[in-house]
Amino acid sequence: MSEKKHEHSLVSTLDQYFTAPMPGDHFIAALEQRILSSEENPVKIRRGKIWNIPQPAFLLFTASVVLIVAFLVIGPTKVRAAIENWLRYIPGFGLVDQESAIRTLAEPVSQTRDGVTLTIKQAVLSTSRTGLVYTLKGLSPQAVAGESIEAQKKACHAAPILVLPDGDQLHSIGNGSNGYDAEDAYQVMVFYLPLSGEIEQATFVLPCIPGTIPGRAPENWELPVRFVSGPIDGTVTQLKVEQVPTNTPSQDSPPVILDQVIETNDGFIFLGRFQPLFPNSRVAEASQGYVPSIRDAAGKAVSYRIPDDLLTDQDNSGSFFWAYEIQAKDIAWPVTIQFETVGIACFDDQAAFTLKAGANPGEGQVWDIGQELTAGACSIKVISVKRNHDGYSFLITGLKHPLRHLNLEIAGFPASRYSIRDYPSYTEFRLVYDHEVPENEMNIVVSGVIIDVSGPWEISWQPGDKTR
Amino acid sequence: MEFFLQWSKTSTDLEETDAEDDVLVRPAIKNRAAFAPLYKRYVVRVYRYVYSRVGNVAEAEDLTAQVFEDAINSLTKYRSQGTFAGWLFTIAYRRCADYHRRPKTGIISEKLSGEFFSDPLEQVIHQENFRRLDKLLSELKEEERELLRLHFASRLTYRQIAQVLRRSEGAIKVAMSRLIQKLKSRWEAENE
Repeated sequence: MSEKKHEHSLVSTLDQYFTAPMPGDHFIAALEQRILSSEENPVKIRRGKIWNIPQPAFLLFTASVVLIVAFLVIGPTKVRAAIENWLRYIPGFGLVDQESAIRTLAEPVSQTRDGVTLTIKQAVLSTSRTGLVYTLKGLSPQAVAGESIEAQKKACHAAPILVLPDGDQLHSIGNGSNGYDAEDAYQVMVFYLPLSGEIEQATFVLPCIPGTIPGRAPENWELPVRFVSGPIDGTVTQLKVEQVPTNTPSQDSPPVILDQVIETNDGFIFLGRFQPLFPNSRVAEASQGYVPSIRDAAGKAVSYRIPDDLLTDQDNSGSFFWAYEIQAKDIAWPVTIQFETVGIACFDDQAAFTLKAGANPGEGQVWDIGQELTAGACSIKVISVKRNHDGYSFLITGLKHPLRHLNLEIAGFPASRYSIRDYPSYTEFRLVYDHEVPENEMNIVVSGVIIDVSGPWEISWQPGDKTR
Repeated sequence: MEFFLQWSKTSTDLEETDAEDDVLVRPAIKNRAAFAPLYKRYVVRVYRYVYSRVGNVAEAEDLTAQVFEDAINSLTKYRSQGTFAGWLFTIAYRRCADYHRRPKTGIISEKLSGEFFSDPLEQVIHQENFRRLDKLLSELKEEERELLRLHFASRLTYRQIAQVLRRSEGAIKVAMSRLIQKLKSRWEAENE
């Protein structure tokens, strides 16, 4: 069995494994009546103090547009000098747009209780998010829950909260990297939404220490923190982000684009995107197929990691944004990042065909369809349809490119369950009905088509490269 | 198969759904009856998620009811900085966390014993696959199993999962990618 088939088989099995039975119609109707008929309770939405800040990808996109205009207007030399001050990378925190917009912790804050010391060590407040580093020291091993499922069920899973001066609570939106610092204290970076510049202080509240057994470690921590603006001091590492000159991205551009390179102490980080290959399509977000290989000039594989703090949200261009970090400098340059296969999704389009099954079709009856369908850039062929005792099986294949996925439904007749099976030359989509199986003339709608397009596509870079 | 987008809506649809949800929430805050579209949109997905946690129809129905009652009673706390789906599943996640029942293993064999696979050979193959998957999942950390539940049972986007688990979207992408790769390598190893 090929690697691809392993993956398909695993993912299909996972999909079926986690498909629970549908709730009963009676339950859905009764619950709807119960919750909707309760007493009305008009209320207001409170306005928070949190800025409504665009997502990082949007900021980067905007920065790119401004950059291109600036190149045209004032010339590349001055622009290059200017942009080197625009973006900085703070390891563990991510990209920041301007140093002047950054605030940090006024001073570290510490509290010791029952031998456990909690320290708020540093904070970085940018226009895109708030990051806060805290450390824990002196925790007894007996206080820490084990890794078994049962132990983890009993452990504390609370996340620290930032309480603002007006009482609003800011819940964390995620954790950054964690580990042990130079003083052997356990260090955690926690992220929150960006804070308004007017907020100069807050209270860091930790109901219990994550991973500990309730009652075995001090609880209900509250530490006041203050934020100050101004240049970042030496406690926060900043790395320069090199913009890689590129033409205006368009449909004629190579699909793989390297946007930025960051030189770290022991290597480089590459940030870029994979552009859609066809109009009105997007590079599907998923893991498999997007894991590239990175090789040096001698063809030797270079190991890499994905820096969590540099992965941006997807934007509306349909591109897949990537970031890979290599911890190597003394290698045969240039390095080449190569993608072998990508999934291209034609989400904006759907296709349909008609199945005239007649009344009372017999179990096992097969209709040869042989119809080609096109959903945007994705083209497929419906080979045949088979009637099962509890529904229908559809045999479908990709035309120009292998089919990875599609959604299939009989219009007006949502199925109770479905299953997918891959065969060498086609995929079987099986719709199952718990109750009445639709018959007669049916409109079969196909959407969400994803095809696997093979490359390879690659991009090379070496230190000192001014062009790709 | 593209594991993220099966069965329910595509991610583009889901982005649009997030925006639609925000529009639907406003009237629902003032008038419970206006919550109906949101209820209809999410009841099946919430039920499936809850069922994947408790593995019992009666308990899943009870918990699903509690989730929606919690949601409609605390709509005021919903802020559009996140997504409504993420907010709703955070309620479901917490409800289930308080409700430690039997683990996921065993649920599938219950489901498999039904009529889903009419071909006996197919049923045997799938039961064997599920048995192997049961074993692989039992070796994962609970937080990894939770990622799979939110992904496959709830059909949440990375962004929505990130909201539920209070992690960054990037971190969820990375975690999911690594998790699938890990499962895949073990799955392949068992095949050889």
